[in-house]
Amino acid sequence: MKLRCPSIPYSVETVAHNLVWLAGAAAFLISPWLAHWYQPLYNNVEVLVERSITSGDSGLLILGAAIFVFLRSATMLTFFWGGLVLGVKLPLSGCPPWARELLLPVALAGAVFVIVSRWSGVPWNYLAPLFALAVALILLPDLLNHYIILPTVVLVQLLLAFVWLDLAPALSRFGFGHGDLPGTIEMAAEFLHAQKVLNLVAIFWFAAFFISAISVAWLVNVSIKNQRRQVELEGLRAQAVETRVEKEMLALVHDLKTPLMTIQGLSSLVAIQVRDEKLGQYADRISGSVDRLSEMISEILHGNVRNMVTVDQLFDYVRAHVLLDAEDPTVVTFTSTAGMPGLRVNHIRMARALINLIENALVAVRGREGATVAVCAEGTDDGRVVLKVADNGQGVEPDYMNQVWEYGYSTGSSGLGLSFVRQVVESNGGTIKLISRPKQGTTAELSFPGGEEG
Amino acid sequence: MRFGKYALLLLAVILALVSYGGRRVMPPVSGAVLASPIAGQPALVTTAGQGAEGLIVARMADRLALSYSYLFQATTHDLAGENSLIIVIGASPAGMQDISTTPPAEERRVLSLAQAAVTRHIPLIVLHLGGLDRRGGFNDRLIRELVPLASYVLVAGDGNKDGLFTRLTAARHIPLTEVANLNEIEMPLNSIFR
Repeated sequence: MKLRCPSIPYSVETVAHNLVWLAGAAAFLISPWLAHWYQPLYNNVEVLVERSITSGDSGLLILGAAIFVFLRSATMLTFFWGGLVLGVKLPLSGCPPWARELLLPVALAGAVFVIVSRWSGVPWNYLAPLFALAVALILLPDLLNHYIILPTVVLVQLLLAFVWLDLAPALSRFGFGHGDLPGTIEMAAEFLHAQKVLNLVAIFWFAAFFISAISVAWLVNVSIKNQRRQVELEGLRAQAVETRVEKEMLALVHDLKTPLMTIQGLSSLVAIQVRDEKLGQYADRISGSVDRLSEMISEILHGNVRNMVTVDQLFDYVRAHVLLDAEDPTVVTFTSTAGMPGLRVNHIRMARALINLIENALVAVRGREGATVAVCAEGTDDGRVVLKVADNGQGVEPDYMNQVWEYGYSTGSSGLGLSFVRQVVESNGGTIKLISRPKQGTTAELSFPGGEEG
Repeated sequence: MRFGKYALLLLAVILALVSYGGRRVMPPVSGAVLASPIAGQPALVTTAGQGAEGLIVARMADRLALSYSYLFQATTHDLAGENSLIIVIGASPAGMQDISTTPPAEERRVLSLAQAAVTRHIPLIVLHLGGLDRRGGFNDRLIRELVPLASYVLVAGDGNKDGLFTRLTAARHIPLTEVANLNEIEMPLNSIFR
């Protein structure tokens, strides 16, 4: 089951997701070419440094340093961004989050970093980019799950901040500021006695960009939390409406009991008075049906009312209520093993829970070739009955597995999420387990103690 | 995952601290100036590798009121009329790209210039100002080729941290002066001529 925010249409979300990781891949692939294209522009820095040495003007040196920071940040932006986006968005089934969001960006960005720095003639100093990537990995993956532009702004600021640190002569002992141009700039600063100025400018811009990056990331994070709260609030409102509707429905159902009692009484009277054997059988059947209807009403009115039901009866009831579109090619199958124990459950609610799982599964397999939803029942050696609803659909991303049980998450089918299903299963003495693999499918396993009747 | 995302930051901090321990600037081995001048003026100043430090030495020569000419692509023809040759080693890929030259072409130019100076008994002064940033690869190749031909070698910063200059000069009894930072080379530079 692909769980998502109900307000976002499935297809739009999927297309946007795919476009983003494709853009990440494109940015990553063109980054070596872009770095090669930027390379001649570094000559401007060299020229400005030489002019500052010749004229003794440290202002020209600072200007050269600023151009260097801009060029180096622009060079690294594409492959850092590409690596981070691919780490977050690339659909890698079965890949743990730490490998996808940490190792993958580090490996991708690191590889291109080595390639482009080798092309430049002298390996670039790695420490400032390493710091920028490290902080980006802390701040950005969560943000990239929701936005693209704002995390990109944060990444740009982080790169600008840490590349400036690469030009602070005071930090050269910590491993910053080595390499061709940073070394040349620092050497010129030493010659011009402008090291303090360069330190001050570098630290100032580092602080400015770093604080700005952290602030933007924090604000975006707050915005994401607010959106989540909004979704939860909408869920609570829906729950309130649902509760009100349920109360009204229960009142109406309760009112059904009065005419049923009349039917029951009159059919008994007819059974006593008629001589015709056939009419007597009809009256008995009316009486039996009214009894069953009365039991169902009791189960609807009182959730804790549980009756014995066979798996086949439960499946028959569910099958009758699963509605497929005429054009929906999904195959829905119901299978059960003969001789299984019965279930002591509130079968109206239990059926509703199963229907909800099936509807979720139908959403998950929508548009997939060979879409199948299999509902089956198995008996276990310890006398339990396991009901399974399995699909070969989208599956649930590992990151969302803990959230699927929360209210507010749903597949957009009935709107009753898995929280309702779990509540029904547990109130009927059962347990529920969700097994899912992204892109391969999901199986919901409901386990109940078997009843005495088969 | 929660703490794993801080691993790279921790690694970066550790690398910075390790670097702090390993990249201390070397104290000057010998800050002495030459006892007597070894070269005359005018001097031809050029760079080996097109680093900006050639220009820095030229500006220092201005401050010292030395008679010199600075040519970043000086050739053997430019030695005519010069009484000394100063080659400042510092390979800068950006600098070489700026004048559209390549490391092999640059190597050929400075080597032929140095050999011509030796042949004409013009004192060759080799300077290295870039510290460890200008070591390794092409820089080390230039150092190994030029220093043995030199009459005097001046090194600023931690460029001789591994003792390469010491080994190359000691074998041929070439005087070597090391100074802690770039601006301290003015005095030994002056002592070459005065």
